[in-house]
Amino acid sequence: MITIKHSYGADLDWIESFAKDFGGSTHGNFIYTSEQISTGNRYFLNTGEEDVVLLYIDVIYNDDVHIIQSHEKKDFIGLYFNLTKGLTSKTTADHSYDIGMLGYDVSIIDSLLEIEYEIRSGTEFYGICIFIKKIKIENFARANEAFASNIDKIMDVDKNTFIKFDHMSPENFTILNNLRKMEVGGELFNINLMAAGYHLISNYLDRMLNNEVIEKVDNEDLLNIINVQKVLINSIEKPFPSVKTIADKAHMSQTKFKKLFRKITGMTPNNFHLTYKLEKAKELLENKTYSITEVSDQLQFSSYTYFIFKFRKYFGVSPNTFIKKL
Amino acid sequence: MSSEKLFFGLAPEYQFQFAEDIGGVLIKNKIIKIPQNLGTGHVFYIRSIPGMAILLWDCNLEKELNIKAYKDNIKRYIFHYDLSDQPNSLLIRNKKVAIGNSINYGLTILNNQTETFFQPVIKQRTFALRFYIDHKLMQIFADNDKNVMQKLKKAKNNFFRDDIDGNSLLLLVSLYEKSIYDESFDSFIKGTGLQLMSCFLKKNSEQSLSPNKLPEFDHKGLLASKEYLENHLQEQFPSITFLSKVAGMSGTKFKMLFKKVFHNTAHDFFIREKMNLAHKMLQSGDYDSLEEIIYELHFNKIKQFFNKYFQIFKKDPSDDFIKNNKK
Repeated sequence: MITIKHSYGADLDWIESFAKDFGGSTHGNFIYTSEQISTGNRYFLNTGEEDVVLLYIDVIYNDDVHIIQSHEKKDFIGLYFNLTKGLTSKTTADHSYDIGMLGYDVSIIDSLLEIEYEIRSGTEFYGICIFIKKIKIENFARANEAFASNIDKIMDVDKNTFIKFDHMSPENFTILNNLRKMEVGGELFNINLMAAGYHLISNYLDRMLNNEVIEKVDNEDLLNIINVQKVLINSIEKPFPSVKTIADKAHMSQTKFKKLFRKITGMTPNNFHLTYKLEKAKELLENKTYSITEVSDQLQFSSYTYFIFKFRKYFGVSPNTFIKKL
Repeated sequence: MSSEKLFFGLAPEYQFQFAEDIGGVLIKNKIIKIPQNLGTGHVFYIRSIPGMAILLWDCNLEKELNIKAYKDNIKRYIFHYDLSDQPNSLLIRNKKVAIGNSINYGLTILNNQTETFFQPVIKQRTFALRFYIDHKLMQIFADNDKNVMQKLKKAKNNFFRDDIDGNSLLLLVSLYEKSIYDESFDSFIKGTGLQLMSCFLKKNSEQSLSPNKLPEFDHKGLLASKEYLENHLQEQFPSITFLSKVAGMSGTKFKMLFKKVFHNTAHDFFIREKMNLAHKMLQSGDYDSLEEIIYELHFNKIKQFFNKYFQIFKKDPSDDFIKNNKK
């Protein structure tokens, strides 16, 4: 077990010392760590937008690592989108959270707080961190009343610090997944990383203002719902299982299940399943390897017409127009 | 009556003048509401990353407007995405050009050094997104890709118009659904602008243009038919009907795809391969006479073989023939 203490920041001052803490070096926008700790890409980007820095992490840990995030500068907040496979636990002074894919995969954390992670060897860590200076958020709040009046939703009012653990929407999931397919480095990647950053922030704001940011849910129930989400995502090539089947899997009554599922994901189970299905369909069509009929069959839509109807409703464009224009 | 209204482009200050000109209200320094006597809708303006700005038109005009975007000191490209219901027109150097997704010219690239007028169609929804981008920044993005540079050169000299690609279309359609008054809209449109840029680069870069991707099933079929030909070189050419059955598609589709993928018709491909085999056989020294080879390759006439051989290798088969001396 290695213990590492490091710092982030909303400027570029932390990068050298970060590389040093991880026994590595920087090269261009890449940060390399010692291979004993992790292999893969860590890529930072100064967005050109003032006071915002993006960090892209796609690494595999080669050893058990205990990470302590203790920031030198206390003037920023971190917005973390995390699709790590296999949960890692994150501890603040009061609580321990399971973070990672389908767990608490979105978090907003004040740089004042010291956070600890336990990461097991072999963990595939993937995520995007957005560091924003507090002054920027203050300015934004001054210009936008709705945000200002809702800001306590992402704050611990007693301690006057930002902290919120949350769940990702399917849109975010798609954004992160698409980005992961790209080759890291180069202008095209930079553009896409910036675009992803903007879209993630926009989506987060949307959900925050529309009250979709969830309240605390009983931990066991949450885990059950997460498991169901996993089942649904892994079964996008099958028709939607009935609510009864999946409610049984989550050990809940149908009514409770439906209510809770909606509270956590912001959509019905069927819609959730369909969204992932359609995103997959788009991906398949984009590769041009399959025809529309083949995609519809492969994803087990009940009929060709239904597939086209749903595709059109979700993306606003029919699959035929979409592939013709590719 | 069409009246001339100015709209410069990048710097936010020009919004005031435009708003004043048309008598609209400027909200939060980014939204201009179109006054009722002109129509409904709004124009949205925001600065994205340094060197890039975005302008969104979403309106339904009652009166004709002639919107002029004219020269300013910094050279910029203007990317104009048009998703309006009816084609709009652009006046470039006194020439009228129709643009719009409905006529498959969704994307137009202009430069800000030429005087251009944008004339939205009246009594129809106009939905157009423009981004202004500095030459310097574009240079970095283009990364010296020949194809992209070529397209940009066209835009530099005059203008360039193209169809919108599927992914850009999805991005723009998703903008339809958003309200510009949402607080999350700013960063959403900034992200969308960058993604559109990325789509443009991806579509036009050299890499993406080279391979012609086929559905997997068709590709497999074509390979199977090609393999069949290669394994049966010593026989006569099987018919197209037969080969298309091997490939699992109709005769017409087969002929078309074969040519597209292997840059040759199936028959020509077959003859060429056959001649390569003949060449090998001639030089192998395993045969006593030319006739023996010709017979084995299933040619009807000696003359036919000679002709084809000459066509490909520019010499007679007898020149290449090495007689069997082993006996």
